[in-house]
Amino acid sequence: MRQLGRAFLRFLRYLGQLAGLVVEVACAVAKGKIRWKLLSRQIFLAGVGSQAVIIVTGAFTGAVFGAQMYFQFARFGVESIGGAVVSIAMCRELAPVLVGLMVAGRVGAAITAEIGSMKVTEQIDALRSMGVHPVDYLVVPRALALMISMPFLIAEAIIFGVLASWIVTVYHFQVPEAYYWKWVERWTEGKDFAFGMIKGFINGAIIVVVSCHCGLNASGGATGVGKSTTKSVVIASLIILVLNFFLTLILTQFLRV
Amino acid sequence: MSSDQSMTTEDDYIAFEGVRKSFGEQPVLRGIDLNIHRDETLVVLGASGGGKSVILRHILGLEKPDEGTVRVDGANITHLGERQLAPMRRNIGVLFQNGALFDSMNVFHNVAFPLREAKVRDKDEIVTRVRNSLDVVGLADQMEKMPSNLSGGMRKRVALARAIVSRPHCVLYDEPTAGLDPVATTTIDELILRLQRDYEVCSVVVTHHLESARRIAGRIAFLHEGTIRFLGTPAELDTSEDPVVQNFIAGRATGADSGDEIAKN
Repeated sequence: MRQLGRAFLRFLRYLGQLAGLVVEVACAVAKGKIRWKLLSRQIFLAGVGSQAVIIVTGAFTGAVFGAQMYFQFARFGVESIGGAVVSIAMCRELAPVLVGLMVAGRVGAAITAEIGSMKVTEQIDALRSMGVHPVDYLVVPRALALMISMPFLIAEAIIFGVLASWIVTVYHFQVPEAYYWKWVERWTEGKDFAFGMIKGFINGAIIVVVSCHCGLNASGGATGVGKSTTKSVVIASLIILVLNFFLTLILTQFLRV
Repeated sequence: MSSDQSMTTEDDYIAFEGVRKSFGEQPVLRGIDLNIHRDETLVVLGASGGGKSVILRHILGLEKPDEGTVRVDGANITHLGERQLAPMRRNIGVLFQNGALFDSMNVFHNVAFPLREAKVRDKDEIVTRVRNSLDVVGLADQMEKMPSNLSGGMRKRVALARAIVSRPHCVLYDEPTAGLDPVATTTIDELILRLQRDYEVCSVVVTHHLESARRIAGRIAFLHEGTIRFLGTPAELDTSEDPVVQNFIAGRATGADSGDEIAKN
């Protein structure tokens, strides 16, 4: 019981530290401490550098989901409706969660490894000793870059998912194209797309805060950096998965979809 | 102990008053009183792991004392936050133990970094000052190299160029000769002396190399078990009758360091 209490206190302390980092980033942004050069570089690394991963994730998720929808709906003779289900699912759930997990693995891990290496080799102390706040220099550009990039990456995954599902359903399973698009257009609303964008923005923030926090608190040389990197990916992924459920409930209420 | 630990005066750039610091249950500094003058080179000497670097970290505000006060240039920095410390830190150059050069930047950009952070916008001025600093350490022809392509000694010399490029009031050296061969050690020692002579800065050097300390020190502070056991000139160190100081000079293990003690444990 005592151990459980301690673990809970550790968890609360960790949440407090994450919240502290969020406040520091918000204050730095509010004070205009944005380094545009670093921000554009980070957008390039996080956004442009993730293209292959996002296209493959979106396309193959859409393709396999499109195929499954065809198999299931064909039993009831309504196979043309599958595209609409794929489109809504990609917008609301699949793209935000899967892109979130992929970005946590690709970009989040890189952020923790880079900042963690800087921490254990005293580069962060060197920054501080030159009067440079590590949050301004390291966290703010990465946070803004990921929060800007994530909605675009999710939009891209949705588009490739729906296109892949269209190719599989229409060209492989010979479902009439006009019906496919008719149902997609009829059932997918702007609100569904907004659903994914909001989740993407929040997932971007989660990934960057968790990964930067893990990097800034890395210790114990190369092994410590490795452990922090693993921890960052696991924690960010778990938060994305759990929070996604609650976000769905909240956003459904809020957006009335 | 020969000491001039009086009240802080105008001549003092750094002053420690009753500084205590523990990490967990482990006390590292047990009441440090130390005044460091504006134009002197003070060497903090002591065994490895004895808290010497912790003293440097307190000067920069990277560590906060559990008790006591740290003053830099007359200002009490003990309770200042990260952003409030920034102006003070820009007046201090630091040579970290392993250089702490930024991996993602080449030598030029590493040395130019403090200038850019100090809002020097004139590109010609940046190039000139970076070149001058690298000239001092004899590496002006290595500007395009990445830190990973430099030897340990060269990395330290680049870090030294970075530490002095913004012409600080004070330079802190954390184990500047650790892990270097005797020739590189002498080179770094001579650079420290030259900087002291040319720029007349306050220099604080943390080391466990006795020979280096004798070469560069105006005064030596000998740190033992978290307190300043000796404070005086290199000549006074050699004639000190304190057995702990003499054991350190002679390289004899004492107390917990001794073989007998280790065997008992």
